[in-house]
Amino acid sequence: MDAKKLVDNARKILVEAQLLCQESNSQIYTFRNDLSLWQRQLMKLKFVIGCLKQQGSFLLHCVLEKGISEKLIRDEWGNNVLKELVSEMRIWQDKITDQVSRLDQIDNVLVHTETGTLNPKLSDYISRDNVNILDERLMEMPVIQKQIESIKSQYASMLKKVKENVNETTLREIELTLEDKFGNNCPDTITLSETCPDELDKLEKDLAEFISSITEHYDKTKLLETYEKKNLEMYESLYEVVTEDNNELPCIMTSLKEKISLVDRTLLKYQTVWDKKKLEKKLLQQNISKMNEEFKKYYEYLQIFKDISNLISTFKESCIADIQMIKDLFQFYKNFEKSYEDLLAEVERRKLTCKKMKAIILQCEEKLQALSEEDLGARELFLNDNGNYLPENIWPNKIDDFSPLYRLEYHIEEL
Amino acid sequence: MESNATTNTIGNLTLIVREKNIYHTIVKDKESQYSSSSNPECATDVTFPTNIKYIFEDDEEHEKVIGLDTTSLGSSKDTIENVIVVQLDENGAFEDVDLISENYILLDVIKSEDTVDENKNISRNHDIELQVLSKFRDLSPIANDLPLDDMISLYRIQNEQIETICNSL
Repeated sequence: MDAKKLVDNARKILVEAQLLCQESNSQIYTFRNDLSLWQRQLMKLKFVIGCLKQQGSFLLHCVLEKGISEKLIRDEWGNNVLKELVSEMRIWQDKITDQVSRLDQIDNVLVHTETGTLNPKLSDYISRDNVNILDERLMEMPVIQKQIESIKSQYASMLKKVKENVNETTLREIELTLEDKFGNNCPDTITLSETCPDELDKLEKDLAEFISSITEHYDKTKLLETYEKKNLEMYESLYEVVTEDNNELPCIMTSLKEKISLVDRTLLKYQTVWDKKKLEKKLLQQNISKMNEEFKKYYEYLQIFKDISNLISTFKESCIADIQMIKDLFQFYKNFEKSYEDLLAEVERRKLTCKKMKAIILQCEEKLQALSEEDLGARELFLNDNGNYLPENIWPNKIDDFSPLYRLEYHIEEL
Repeated sequence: MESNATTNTIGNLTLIVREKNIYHTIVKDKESQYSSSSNPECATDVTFPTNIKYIFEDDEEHEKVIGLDTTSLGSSKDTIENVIVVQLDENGAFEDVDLISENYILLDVIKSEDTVDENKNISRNHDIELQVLSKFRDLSPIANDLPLDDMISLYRIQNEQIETICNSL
């Protein structure tokens, strides 16, 4: 065989080997790339599971145990709180009822009525619209208490469900699956993240070695070709090596093909593991979505708690406002009663004043009358002495006039 | 490029990372209770990434790899743990951004681009805000004394964030 043939053969084999290896290498490259994307997906998966865990504990320990159990059920709706409210409402209801019935019993003596009809009572002068408002609130109380009881039991069952979800069922399962199927100690994880890359590296290296040894042979054949005409001695010593290598080429190609089929098998082997993992990941993802749905459902429940909580606090606030109103009303009626008593005293005082005024007038009238009688006597004496000598028109109509010098007119209010 | 009548250059690239963990919302609300004026410089949820490396895969494509300075986002390690990859095309137009991190998840990207044309030299300015989420934390130390309404709305936000991540899986 001459050098030209050896070169041709070597080139042919090299091209064939390169094509084969390229194909395999690109398969390995793609596989590795996909695997690294997959690892990032797993990272996200772990991330979101961590979030689910914290969300579960936030729901359980903060929202439920603190926000609802302590703040609402214990502090806002506690038995003591409501009992206190009820007893205060009762106290003020009793007080106002009592006060109104006092007003019911007091006649208004200042109004004159036709005989046969009763005097109006003081209570006739007030509005009774709001007097029973606390009683009405108290009647609503059992409904509210029932609502609280029902929400308490709803809370208990929700707490139980969340605890189960978080600690035992869904979330626990997710964590266990993660640990079991994707944890660092899981054989598949080690296979895909350590064994597989190592083996692929080794296979790539092996393929590269094949190419480099075939390339080396090809280079030798080219060298042989150059020696053919110039350096017979070198040619002969190289020829032996090259023909030997040339004879081994079919054998090398066979083992290269074996290696390539090993690559195929290896990739297939890992692909199988990976496919299994993909399936497991899908199941895990379904559970994660399920947990997310559960969390969303709990949000709806929380909304109900919030609505009822608003309802109850509105009720409580209006109770407190009503108590305040009744307190004011009570004070007002109390003042009304006292002011009525003061009014009666005032009427007496005014009557007394009228009486005093009347006495003064009587006294005055008596004095005036006496003076007037004295005056008439004096006029009579005057006329007797002078009447005949005075012409009538010297003081027209006055000289012999005997009408009194005064006229007393007065008015004193009759109370 | 110089043979062309116009040249394209990449203008300013402003990258903001905003952390959407509700932890920051709670802390901020608490702070604003005590101080009347909010101080944006003290914001714990916004950071400008530093430690920038440029990778030119070839002349046509530019990638910037930016290590997120994690110290301002609560991590004490000095080593780069979070990598932001910004991909631009040969004209400097924004193509893609990605975050590779174990500690943060990219929720959303808000981007705006304006082109400045000076003497036929087109440069593009990019404003990119990455909305990222750090791992949920144990909120009980700071959230226990919040009103129930606030707790419930924080709970809802976290549900939405979980859903966003689930949808990207």
